[in-house]
Amino acid sequence: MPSLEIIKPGLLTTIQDVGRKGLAYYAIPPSGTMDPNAAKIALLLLNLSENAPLIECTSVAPTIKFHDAAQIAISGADFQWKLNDTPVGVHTVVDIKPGDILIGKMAINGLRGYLAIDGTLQVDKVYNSYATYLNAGIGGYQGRMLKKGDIIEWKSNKENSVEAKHIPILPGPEFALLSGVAQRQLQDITYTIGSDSNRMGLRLQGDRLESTSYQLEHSLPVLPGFIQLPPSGLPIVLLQDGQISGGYPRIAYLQERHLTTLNQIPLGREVRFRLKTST
Amino acid sequence: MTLRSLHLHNSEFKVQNFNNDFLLIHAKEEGTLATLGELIYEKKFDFIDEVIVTEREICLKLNGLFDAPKIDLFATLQPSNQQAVNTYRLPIYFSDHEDWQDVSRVTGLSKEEIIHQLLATDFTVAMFGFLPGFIYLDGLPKALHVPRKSVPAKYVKANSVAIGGKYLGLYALDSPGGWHVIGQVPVSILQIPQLPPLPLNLEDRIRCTQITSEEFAQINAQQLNLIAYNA
Repeated sequence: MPSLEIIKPGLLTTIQDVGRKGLAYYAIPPSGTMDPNAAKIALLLLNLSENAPLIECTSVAPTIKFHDAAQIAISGADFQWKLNDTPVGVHTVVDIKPGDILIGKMAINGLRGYLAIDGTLQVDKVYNSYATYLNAGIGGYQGRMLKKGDIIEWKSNKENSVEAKHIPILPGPEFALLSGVAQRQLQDITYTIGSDSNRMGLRLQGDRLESTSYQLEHSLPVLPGFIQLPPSGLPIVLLQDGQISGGYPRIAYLQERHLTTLNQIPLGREVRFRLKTST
Repeated sequence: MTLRSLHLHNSEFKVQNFNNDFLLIHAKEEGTLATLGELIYEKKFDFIDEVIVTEREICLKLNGLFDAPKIDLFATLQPSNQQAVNTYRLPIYFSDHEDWQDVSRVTGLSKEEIIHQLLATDFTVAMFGFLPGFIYLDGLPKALHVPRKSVPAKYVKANSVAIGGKYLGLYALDSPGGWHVIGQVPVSILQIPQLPPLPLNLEDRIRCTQITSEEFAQINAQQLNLIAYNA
């Protein structure tokens, strides 16, 4: 698993997330990021969930050695970060090579900064939150501040290079209308994003997909991300201005974060889908 | 996808959970679904981002606050008072739209015969859907059912009346559309930015009336909405 190592811990460096809500009843404070807006910026720059854990730095930055390649995003107060002696600005995504060292100094224009890593940090979740709560010693990295020699691991969100280009989809309400062959074809066909796509729907060009029916008896609900199969056999992905009901089979759907990815692919480019059975 | 059943006011519903992304609800008996959909919408649950109610299925878009036991909350909903059912006349100019060819071919009926049947039918507002102001009317005689187009038309003019499967529909906006257009209405339905954005309720009744192109132009010039036209 890829990892980083804390070379110098800084003044008060902890793992935090949005915090554990609703437990004050049991005298457990929320903890969590001290500047949630700044933390959210770092997470969103990497297309991570707003609830994901990240590193919070306070006043004096840590020095971090990356043992493996990574993508990181830095936000919040400016700690005058440098990657191997090259200055790194805040609010950017930084590509890290194995062996790279990230060094910061004193915070200017603020006190707290955030460092998010593209992946799933392997840290402790207690009461549904990764936030470090120092007094009780729970959450984050062993419930304490990071110190010299600590190793933080993460699971990469990037799958192997071939699959990375494949957009994950899940079976939709009428998935069963597709034959076994067509269900496999849905993953095998390389589609081109049609130039007649718009904000309502993305029309896919490629081989025709066989369904036992292309018309539903009733008009049924659809949401952005749903994939419809009209009689042409060429799927349509409904987008942000899409209709809210329709009569074509809803063979599959994309979850919101994958619709985000698809929405950034230019017209005329090729895409392929990868069918997941559950999340 | 997981499946469970739900009991509310002596009605049984089937709830399908798609990976905590959305729920689909079906009713065992017809007619009970719209009531449940309205109750869920009015309750404004924090774990639901969107409620879509169609004649045969409710779709609830979920957010991160949802977990499976929340489905039990639907069983605690109390029914509200029934709204009054209104009847409106819908004036239609049955234009010479090119879609008439398909409609006549599929039904095997002449334009006059089809219009005659439409005028004799009591339609019911079955659902709102597709795009803002689009109305699905139930009651279309079986002989007039026409499947949707295999390739949807890129442009259907606002206030077009069209046949789609077992429904008669009204497009309130210019839009793409897969239904066969048979006429035009000279009154508007949409009242954006009011909420709800149209003056009809589910279950309201619609009677179609035939108007000439001259009458169409006359009424159109008055810029009436459906309610004012019926007043």
